[in-house]
Amino acid sequence: MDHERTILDRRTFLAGSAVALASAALPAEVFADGPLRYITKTIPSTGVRVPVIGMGTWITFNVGADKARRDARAEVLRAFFGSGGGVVDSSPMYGSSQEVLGYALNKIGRPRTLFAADKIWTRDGDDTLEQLAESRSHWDIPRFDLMQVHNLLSWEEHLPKLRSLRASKKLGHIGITTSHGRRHTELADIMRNHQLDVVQLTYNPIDRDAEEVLLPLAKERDIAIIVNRPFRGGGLLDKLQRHPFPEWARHEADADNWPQFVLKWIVSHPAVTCAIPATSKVAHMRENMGACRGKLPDQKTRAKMIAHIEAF
Amino acid sequence: MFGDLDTYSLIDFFPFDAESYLSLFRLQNEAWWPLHIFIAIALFVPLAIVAVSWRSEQERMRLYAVRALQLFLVFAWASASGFILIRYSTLNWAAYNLGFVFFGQAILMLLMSVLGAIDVESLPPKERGPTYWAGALFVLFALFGYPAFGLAFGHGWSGIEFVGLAPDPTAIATIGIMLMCRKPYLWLLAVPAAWSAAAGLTAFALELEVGLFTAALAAIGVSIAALRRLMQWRDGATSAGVS
Repeated sequence: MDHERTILDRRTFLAGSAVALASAALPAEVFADGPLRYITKTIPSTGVRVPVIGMGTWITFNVGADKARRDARAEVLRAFFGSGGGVVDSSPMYGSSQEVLGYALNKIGRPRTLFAADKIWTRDGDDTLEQLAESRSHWDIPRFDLMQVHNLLSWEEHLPKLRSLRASKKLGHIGITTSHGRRHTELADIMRNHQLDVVQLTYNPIDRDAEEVLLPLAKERDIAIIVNRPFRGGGLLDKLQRHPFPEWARHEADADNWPQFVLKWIVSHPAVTCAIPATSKVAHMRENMGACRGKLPDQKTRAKMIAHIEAF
Repeated sequence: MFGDLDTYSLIDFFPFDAESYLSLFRLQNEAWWPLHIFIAIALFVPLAIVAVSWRSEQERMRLYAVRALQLFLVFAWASASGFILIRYSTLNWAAYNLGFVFFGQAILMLLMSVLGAIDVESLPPKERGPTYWAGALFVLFALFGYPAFGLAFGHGWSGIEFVGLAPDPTAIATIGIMLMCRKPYLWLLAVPAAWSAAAGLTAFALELEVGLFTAALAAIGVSIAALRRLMQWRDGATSAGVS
């Protein structure tokens, strides 16, 4: 089984690879005791464990200099970590999101469970290190846990530099991203021929192209998968919420609402490590993070879930 | 940055939501209040003076009013440039260079004013024609219509788009003043028209209303200006043929 239930032990979470590898090898039940149980998965290349629900910042954290709105986002982030969150993902492309994240992280006291993921987004291969330093300064953190090449942009130039930083322990993991199903063929080639820790892509009950090649390839190559646009920018939930929630999903998938239904379906794919929905509302964040608890659907239940959605 | 443009939707170019966009105007208004009052006076008073002045004994006052309108345009575009560089570019990476384009428009307005290209019509009111009065209406709408629309759409006083401080009403006021000129040079309208089109796209993507009015008004204004220039060109060609 790829998903282990665990206590989110703040001291051991994101600890060194030796500890993580050891824990990953133990049966799931070992980590199931205690008052707070969150579902985590392991990044295969390092053994680092992350909660299966992370947080994206596209649009939602781009609030500029408005202090009231920055404070509101800090509360969203507080709710995220308070509900067992770990992976937070951003990009220089997202306007003020990085700065707002830095502000919010400082405001809530920099949770130790933070798994900071960002991207390199520049066509100029000479700007890799400069942009990384700038992003780190915005977040106000000493080191990124994950740095990805955004939308495959100039990946040939950025990847070697990121790999070198990773080798010198200045980065935790390296990866590459795409979204909206773009350039999957090229991405598959990169996955086959280059050493990556993480690939980020779009996967949800409507956008399932990744199932064909990329997800099996990730499994084969021990690459973690982070899923963006799990709700298709909110459009999928708007569509689903017009229909009654299936009661059977409460006991078969431990999902209490449509966001949890979709998220649990996504992260229960054996190749998927984590999904990163974005929200600007505390209530929605708590709703999303509910998908990090309970059990994940097995393959039979996944098939039932997708059939239910496809029937609409 | 966007190698495969066809796979992007319009919203991908706007990495912010409507609330964040509207908050920019609130921040701008809070930073500059009560400059709004002086801007309103600086625009309305010369507009009224040029509207009622045509007799020879009023010429000096009319010229001062025209100068005031020209100065207003320079100030308004420099101010809009600041809005883009300081506020809008925090939300939209693509906007940063636009700030310099706006500043270029301010310089252009200054140069064209000095060269006499922004020359408001001085004929008696009855002889001024519909283009002039359409221009005056555009300016009045930029001054009063935008705050009214902002309030009507629930943005509150602090969130209104004010001419001289926000780009949309500034673009419309510019088109208006150019329509009031003897020759509404189309190339001076390129930046206001381009911004208005962008404002329309932004409004469409974010499901806002005000920017749609900006795009529609600009399209009407530029069409009127183009028609007027066409007629002036035709009249000039006819006169040349006769002489």
